[in-house]
Amino acid sequence: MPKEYLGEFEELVLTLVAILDKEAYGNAIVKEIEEQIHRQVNLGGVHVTLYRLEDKGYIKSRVGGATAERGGRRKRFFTITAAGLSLLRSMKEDRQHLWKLIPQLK
Amino acid sequence: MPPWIVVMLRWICPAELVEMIEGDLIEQFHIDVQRFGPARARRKVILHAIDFIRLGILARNGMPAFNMPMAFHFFRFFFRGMKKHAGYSFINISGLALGLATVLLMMIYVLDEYRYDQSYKDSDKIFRIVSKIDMGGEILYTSFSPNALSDAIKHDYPQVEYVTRATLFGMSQALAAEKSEVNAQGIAADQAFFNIFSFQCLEGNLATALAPSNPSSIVITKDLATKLFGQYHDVVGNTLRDGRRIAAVIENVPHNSHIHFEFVTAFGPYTPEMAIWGNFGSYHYVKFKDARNVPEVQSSLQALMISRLSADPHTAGFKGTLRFQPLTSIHLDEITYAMEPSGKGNKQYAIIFTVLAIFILAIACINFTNLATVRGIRRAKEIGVRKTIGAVRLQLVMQLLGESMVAATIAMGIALTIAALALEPFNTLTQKQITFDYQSVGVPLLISFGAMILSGILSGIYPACILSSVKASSLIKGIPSVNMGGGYLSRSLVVLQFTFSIMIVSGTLVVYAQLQYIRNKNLGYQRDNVIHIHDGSKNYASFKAALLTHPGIKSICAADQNLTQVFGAGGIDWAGRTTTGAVLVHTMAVDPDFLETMKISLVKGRNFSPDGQRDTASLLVNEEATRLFATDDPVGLRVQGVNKVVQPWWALYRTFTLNRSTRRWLPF
Repeated sequence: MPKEYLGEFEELVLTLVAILDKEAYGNAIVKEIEEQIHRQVNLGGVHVTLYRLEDKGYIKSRVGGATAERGGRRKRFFTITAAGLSLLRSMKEDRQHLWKLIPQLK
Repeated sequence: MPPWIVVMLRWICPAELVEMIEGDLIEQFHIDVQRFGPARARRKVILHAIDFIRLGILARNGMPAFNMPMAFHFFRFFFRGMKKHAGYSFINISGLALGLATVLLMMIYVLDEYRYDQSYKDSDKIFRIVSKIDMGGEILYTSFSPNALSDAIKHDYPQVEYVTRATLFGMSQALAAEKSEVNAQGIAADQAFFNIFSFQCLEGNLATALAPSNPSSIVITKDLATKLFGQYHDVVGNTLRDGRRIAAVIENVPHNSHIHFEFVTAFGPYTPEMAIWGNFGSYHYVKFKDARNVPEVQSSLQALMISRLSADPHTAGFKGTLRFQPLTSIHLDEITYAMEPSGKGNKQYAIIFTVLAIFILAIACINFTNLATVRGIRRAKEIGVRKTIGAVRLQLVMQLLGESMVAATIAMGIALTIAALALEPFNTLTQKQITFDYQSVGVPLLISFGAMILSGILSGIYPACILSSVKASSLIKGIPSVNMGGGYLSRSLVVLQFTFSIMIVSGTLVVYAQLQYIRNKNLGYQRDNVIHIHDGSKNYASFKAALLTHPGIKSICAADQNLTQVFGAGGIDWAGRTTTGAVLVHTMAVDPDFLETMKISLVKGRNFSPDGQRDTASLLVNEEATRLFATDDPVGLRVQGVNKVVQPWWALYRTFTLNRSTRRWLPF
């Protein structure tokens, strides 16, 4: 099986799902990205990426947590799967390996 | 948060996702209200919601319609429906097909009219100098201009890059090569002709082909070369039997060029008597370096011409106006100029055709949409059953939209076939040579495809949206009780459609009546059962004798020109003339059988004598000419004509009208 790749935004969202552990849903991810790395992202873009990651099996979702400020609508919480975590780790290792090869940094 | 956002989201988002997406949007809205205030938060939530219209969401709606069994099912259902309602399907599809085919052909025609002469390079910098001559009351528009123009422009107007004279040989000429002889239509022009009109040179050197140093050079087109030599390469340097040498072979003249020819010869220099301002004897084409200089050059030349005309005693009474006519507007110009080298187009026709095409397109689309809508609504039960089994809304929409799109596509296919098959007779009818290539068919095709998609969507969207929104139970019970809406819309569309149809039908009837009138109007001569053969044969006498033995042929006459298209007019003078100024009459040489053949009745005098020898100095004139001479009994009057020969003349025949306007007519 060929090695799986993730796009930059996909990797970001996947990482955020891992960070937020069991509390990752659309708004939380948008807020966390803004707070941690000061980047504005679109809710729609995050949603689409989450669904795509779920299709690929890197995250899984459960439903729950209706609150008043959501007009009584439930949330879709995402958690990272073992496959997602190992992909994230291998991507990080690849990146580090490449970083070591940059001559100016030696 | 605006409520329509929720409606929109339910439409675009899959059912299992929509609740959470809505939740996230509402939560984000509350956060934004605290951060930016309600107004900005509202704007933001709208943007966020619209941001959800993306492929990643839409495609998640699950498209079982696109898997193979469903696709088969879709087409099976479509064709079953077609078979079951064969009459309806036939009317619907063929109606749209006919409409599209008509529009396609009409747009091809109109675009071709507008594209005249645009194939020449820098066509926006090329102008023809045309004249308006006021000869003491009678105004003549002619595409000829004074012979003195070209020298004047060459010497004093550096703004003009190139100028050429050109003249059309009134009749085709016989060209003979070693093995073959063909009749061909030609022009004479100056060397600069090929600098002005960009013709692709296939062989030879166009830069020197018509130089004054090679007066016997001739440039021929690819087709003529093939006719003469059987091939169009390796022909340069060959001489024709009359001694003319082929200097170059060029690509054929494009069919949408206002000037047509098969060969070009060098334009000989004018004699001093001919190169005067009062002699409007040839076409002049100019190419500007910069088209912005046109008005300046035009008014300057105009002033020069007026001063020269009044300086010459022969033309002192003439008032001439010059106009630089843009090359691309020659074909559809509002003014009809005499001596136009080929059939002129009619801008009004082009506009009428465009409007008609829009009407027909509208009728075809409305008709298709209405029929399909009505049938779609009749399928309420089917849709009810589908819903009960578990069809998703999007599936239903896709199915109904898909069916009308397929029907529209079939109609388009038929329309294309009809148009392709009809192009040949269409070309004959319109005297064009349009081929089915991208150049001439591209834009009309795009328009028809647009109409096809539009009518497909329109006819599908209504039943699709309405029916898929109604409860399954009420659908199955029969025609849904809900107000189906759109009743207004479809009724007004029907009214519009009928209005258009009535307008077109009555318009056609009026035009038909007009044409009938033109056809049956008594022109003073007989047009039925007369044919015209163009032949430069020198053995006319034996040809005529041979033909007369045929029982189907009643009479034959020869003439130097075609009666319906007489070239050239000359000034005349007569004894006892009381008016001054030039008087132009059209002349034509005919043989004694002319009157018999054309069934022209004599009013006074006698016809030419049959042996054709004694009457070389006699003339026949029409009644219009008599009016001109202001005499009751013109028989015997002496007329001084173009050739400066004094000619007594003999007979008078009934006026005949040409081109709906009365022209003076005087054969000799």
